[in-house]
Order: sequence, then structure tokens, then C-alpha cells
Amino acid sequence: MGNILEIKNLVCGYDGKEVIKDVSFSVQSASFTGIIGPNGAGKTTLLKSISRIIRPSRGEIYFQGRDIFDFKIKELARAVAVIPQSLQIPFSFTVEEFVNMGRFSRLGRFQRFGRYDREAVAGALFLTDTLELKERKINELSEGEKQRVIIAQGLAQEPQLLLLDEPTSHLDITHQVQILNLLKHLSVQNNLTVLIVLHDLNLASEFCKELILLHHGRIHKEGRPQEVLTYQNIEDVYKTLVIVKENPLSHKPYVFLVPKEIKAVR
Amino acid sequence: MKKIIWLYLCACLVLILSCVFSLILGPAKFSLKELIAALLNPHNTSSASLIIWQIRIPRLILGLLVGAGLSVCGATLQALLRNPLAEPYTLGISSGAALGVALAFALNLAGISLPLFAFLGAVLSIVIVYNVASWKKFTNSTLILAGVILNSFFSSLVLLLFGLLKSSKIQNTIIWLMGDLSSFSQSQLKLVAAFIILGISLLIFLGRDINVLTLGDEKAMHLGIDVELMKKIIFVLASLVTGACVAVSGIIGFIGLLIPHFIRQFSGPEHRVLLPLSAIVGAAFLVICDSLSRTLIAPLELPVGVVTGICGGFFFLLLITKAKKWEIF
Repeated sequence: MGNILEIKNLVCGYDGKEVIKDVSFSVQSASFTGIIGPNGAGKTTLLKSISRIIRPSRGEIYFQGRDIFDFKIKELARAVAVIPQSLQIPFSFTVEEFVNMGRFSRLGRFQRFGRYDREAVAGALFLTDTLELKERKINELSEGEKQRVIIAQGLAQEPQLLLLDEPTSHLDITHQVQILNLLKHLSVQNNLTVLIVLHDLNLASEFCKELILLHHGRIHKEGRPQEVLTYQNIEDVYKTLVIVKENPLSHKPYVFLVPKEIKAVR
Repeated sequence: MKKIIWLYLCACLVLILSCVFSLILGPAKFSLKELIAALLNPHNTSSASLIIWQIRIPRLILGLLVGAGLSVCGATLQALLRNPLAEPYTLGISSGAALGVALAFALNLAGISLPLFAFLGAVLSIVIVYNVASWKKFTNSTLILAGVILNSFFSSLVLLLFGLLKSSKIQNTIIWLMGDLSSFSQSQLKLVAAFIILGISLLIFLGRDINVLTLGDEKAMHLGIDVELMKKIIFVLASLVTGACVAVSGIIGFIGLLIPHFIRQFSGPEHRVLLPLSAIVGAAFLVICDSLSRTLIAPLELPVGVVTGICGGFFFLLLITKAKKWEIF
């Protein structure tokens, strides 16, 4: 399997202030990669430049060997779907109408919504377990349901790469695990490449095959969770004392916090 | 699907009724029989035939066009600015267009330059409002505040301009600024009709894009829209329609607010349904308002903007009191 995404010496930020300072990495096709790091490390900025919202001031981003800025906007939308942290939807579209919009990039100006489009939407609704919400208004759903519907819209784009910015941060653990299970399933079954920003180190550890630990706009460490989530790395980056143990079932590292009183006793 | 057909049927029924209503009512009242007789014999020289064909039908057509145009513009602006209170009037776009018309008058221009200057005035207002909206500090309600200020600023400029040039016409100008369907020239009707119909059709054609743009710039781009380009195109079309409406009817407020909100209750926000339905019902609504404005204080006439203003003012209050639903304030 080749690299679907390659980032070379990326420098970017807002209003001349550099947030990402020289980041290079590549993402393998059909992999599940997590981006972690403390607040302000540049996780969201990195994702925004990969999804073309902000133009890098230096460096290149290649998707399938082509510079992403050489793609037409519509062409890129057929290959890359982006799930934001939260989405304000001012009008009460039905779930079906909303997911249908995922087909926008696949439809020509004069082309009608066809049978294949309907099937793609039905498939996306099925995968995200939102078929029964089809007729409901999107603004009347719970946060967990809404996030699943937003993911369904992304899947209706039939992308090869799915970029997600902390898609579970507003959800309780049931929905967090449910959504990450879904993404994991998709990456294995449908050869979907997933690049996801996560806040929660333990979720990242359990679900991601590869992790990228960002710190002050640079990659502090990248590799398998066992290599990245060591107490030493976490202490360096988060300035917090932790203990890392192995989850007895999954054998993935698990990060325990150490409260101040306990530190004092020891 | 069935529901949509029913909605269209109801809307068309309302439209036909409003047309009949407006042809019958006025300083001279006709019976349905007289109306049909007059409609069937356009070249008859009876007074009924003359009044209906020479006066009421052109005015009816104008009312239909302006009502449809302003409603579609309202729905479009609400979608693009993601603001439920947006419409040509509350954003000051209508008064920008009015300023354009006043300038054209001042320069002694006529014909196509009236809607053209109105269009330029509308574009100017949209550029101001849109840039204000892009500043991070501005919330939806401050945007409307900016629109209201723009509105009174431009209206004052219009009055000043007319006052300096032809102070005898100032009375007419005030009426025109209130929104008025009685003082248009028939030669303008065809031209303006072309602008409005073209603009509305293109906006409906772009309904799918407008749907996606309601999700905000970033999401719209990720779904495959060239956001900057599409927004420009859509704003230009909305300016064109608003400009054409204002050039012939002055500033008629609140239709663009009332009608799309009303229709959305039934059709939902899918713009390929919402826009055509808004056009039909908006046309009917303005025609009814116009009939009322002709009869309420007969034999005198009210500017139609007074009637829409009264309906719209109440509705505006209603909207901002249940604003929580929109999560905007």
C-alpha cells in the first residue's frame, strides 16, 4: 500500500503567526492515524491546511501524489471528506436532505439526483446507523445523533480520505466509542483512510494504528501507540506526571493521571 | 413528493384568487361577471375593459413580479448570510438601490439606466453588509443593526438629492420611499420583468448550491463548492432582482422576511422548493396588499409599503421574541 497523503516541510498559520513549524509526515492508504497534542499544539491548524481552508506559507501537501492546490475544489471533495468539531446548521433540514448534500461534488450542474446517488446516501445512513432518523429534522437530534449524521454526509461523498477534527469531544463515552468503532470498521472494511485529531489520549491509543504527537507546531514523536504514548513523551509535551500501563485486553498503552496529593505522599 | 405537489397546488390557487381579487377591487368595483366579460374582450371600449386592461393588469403584473422578486431575494439572503432576519429591506439593500435610482434621476437618465443604477446601488449595499458580516465581532443582530442604519442613511440621501434638485417632487419621493406600485411607467415594465424573471430563474437553478452554502463556508467548500465565486454570483443575482424591484416600486419592506419564513414552515429549507414557492406566494401576497392599499382609505391610496410594513413589523417582533430557536442572539 502506498502513501495517500504526504506532507513535506509544512509551515502555516494565521496572519503571519506560524502555528505549524516544519511538519513532515505521510499517511498510508487505508490506515487509521491519530493526531494528538496539547491545546495550541497546532492540531486543528494542521487539519485545516490539509483540507485547504488555510494556505500553507511554505511546504507541500500531496494527495495521491498531486499537490492538493492543483485539485479543483469539486474534485477534491470527491476524494476527501472533512468532519468538523461542530457544525452550526441554521435551517432545519431533514436528515435525508442534509446527507443528500454529500453528493454535491458528484453531481453535474444539470444532473439530477439519480439512483446511484440515492443508494450511496442510503448506504451512508445504514453504516452510521441513522436510517431511522431519515425523516427527522437535523436540529432536533441529540448531539450524538447529529454527529453521526454529519459523518453520514461525509461518507455519502464516497471519499478515500476522511479527516476528522475531534469528532467526539462533545459526546459521552457511549457515543465516543460508538463513533470510533464505526470509523475503525470503515477503515478496515471499505479501505477508507482515516486521519483524526483526538483530545483523549486513551481513545487515541485504543483506536489508532499510528499516532502523531504534536508539540509547539512540530512533531514530537510519531509511530505506533506503544512508541508514542510513553510517560516520558507525555511528560515532555503535556508537562504532567502520568503513569502508562498496558490495557490487559487490547495490550495498548493506557495513560493514568497522577493527582497532586498522591505525588506528595510518594 | 406528494406533499410538494400539494404545496404547489395550494400556492397557485392562492395566486389565482389574489389576481381575481386585485382586478375586481379598486376605486371602481366590478362584479366577477364584468371582469370575465372585460377579460374576454380586450378591445372593447367599455369602461370596465379599459380600466382592467389599461390600468389594473399592468399594475397586477408589476405587483406579481416585485412580490416574487423580493421574496426570493429574502430567502436567498437568509441562506447566504445564515441570518433569519436578512432581507433586502432590513439589510439596507433596497435603500442602496433607491439611492442608485435617485442618482439616475439626478443625472437625467432614463430607460435601462434606472434598473442598472439601482443594481449598482444594491451591489454597493451588499458589499458593505457582507464585509460587516465577515468581521468576527459582528453577530447576526448587529448585522441587522448595520442594515437598519444603512437604510436610514441611504433614504436620507435620496431625500436630500431630490430636495436639492426638484423640491416640488419631495412628496412623491417620500411615497416612493415607502414602497409604491402606482407610479411606475409602463415602458419600464418589460425591461424590469426581464431582469426579475431572469434573476429568479437563475437563483432557483442554483438552489442546490444555496442549500450547501447554508452550512457555512468551510463545510460548503469541503462538499465541493467554490464558495467565494458562488457567493459573488448569487449576491449579484440578488442585487439585480432587488434593484429591478426598487427601480419600479420603491422600497417595499418585509416581504422578503415574511414570505420565506411562512413557506419554510411547510416546505422546509430545501431551496429548490422554497424559492419557487416563495416566488408564487410572495407575488400573491403583494398583490393582495396592493389591493388593500387601494381600498382601505378610498378614494385615496396608501403606499403599499404601509400595508406590508404593518404586517411585517408584527412578524419581525414575533421572530425576535422566539429567537432562541434560531440560536442567533
